[in-house]
Amino acid sequence: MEQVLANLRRVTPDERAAIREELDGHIEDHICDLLELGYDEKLAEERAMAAMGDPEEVGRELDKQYPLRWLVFMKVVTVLLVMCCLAVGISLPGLRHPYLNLQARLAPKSACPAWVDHMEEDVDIRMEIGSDILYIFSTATEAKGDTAVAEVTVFYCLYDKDPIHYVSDSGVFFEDCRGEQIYGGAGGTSTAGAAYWSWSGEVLYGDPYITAVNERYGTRQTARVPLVWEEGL
Amino acid sequence: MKKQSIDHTKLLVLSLLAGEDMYGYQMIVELGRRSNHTFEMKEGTLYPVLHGLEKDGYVEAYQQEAPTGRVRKYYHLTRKGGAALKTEEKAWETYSGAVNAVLRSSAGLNLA
Repeated sequence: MEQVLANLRRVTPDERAAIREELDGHIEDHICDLLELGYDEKLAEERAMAAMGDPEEVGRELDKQYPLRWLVFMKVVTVLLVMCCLAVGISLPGLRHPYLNLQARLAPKSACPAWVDHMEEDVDIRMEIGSDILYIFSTATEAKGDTAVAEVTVFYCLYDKDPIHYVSDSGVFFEDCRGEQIYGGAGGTSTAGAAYWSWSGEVLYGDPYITAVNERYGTRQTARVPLVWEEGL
Repeated sequence: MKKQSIDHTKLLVLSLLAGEDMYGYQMIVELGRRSNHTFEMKEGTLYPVLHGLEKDGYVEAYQQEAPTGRVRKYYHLTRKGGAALKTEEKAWETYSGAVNAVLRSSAGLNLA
């Protein structure tokens, strides 16, 4: 019987139970007839089972009689229901927080679509700051006319290492390649799950990098951010 | 030839149900009895045929309690099934007639 049922892939649980009941009943009826003819119980059972034929073939042929349509429909409905629950779930405060954390780790640009057009070079520079991670994911550079000064913009986010914990303020600042602090301006958005910043400051055109610095916990932590310049200027 | 055997089983099942409603094991026993045990199929293979006929609307099933107290699934021939039986009978007459004609034309055979 288990071999028959193992080949039933298109049936619902109720249909599977009904098929089992019907086949069990058939075997039981045959065994009763054989017992009345004088067979002992063991032999009657063996004969009745053998008379049913190849269980795999019976299962396969039975399965073919059940259309895929309803099963596919039910599976599609189930998937849609799960997606709706997830969509509702991530709007709830308790679940939205980890969602924002994961979004910052995996797809930060999707959280700041308004900035995407200003981003030029994708980078992946991450620095631990206490229990948080500073993730620099994009940069942009712009020459300022004929002067040697240029503007650099760094796009970064912060998220806690633990998806369910809150993110803190970063206290990050930037230095040029000569070790001088760059006094720039930043703007961004912040939620409990993640914080996004767009920082801009002035450097000399052609500087190969700037350095992200954090001295929040008494030690100096740095991460080098390479700069890419448009040629021909 | 395998397709022909499946169609023949369908014809036999519809014929049995034309007389009375039956459950699966009863059909196997009756088929053996009426055919003088010429038709003794692997019993499990009856059920794909029955379930297929039910899905196609040629038979409908209902449950009835057996004397043992267990519930049996009975099958009943529908109007659509009755019409299909007539079609299958005609198809069988054509097929068996053609086979007989070929056999008759073989030299040395004397078919009644």
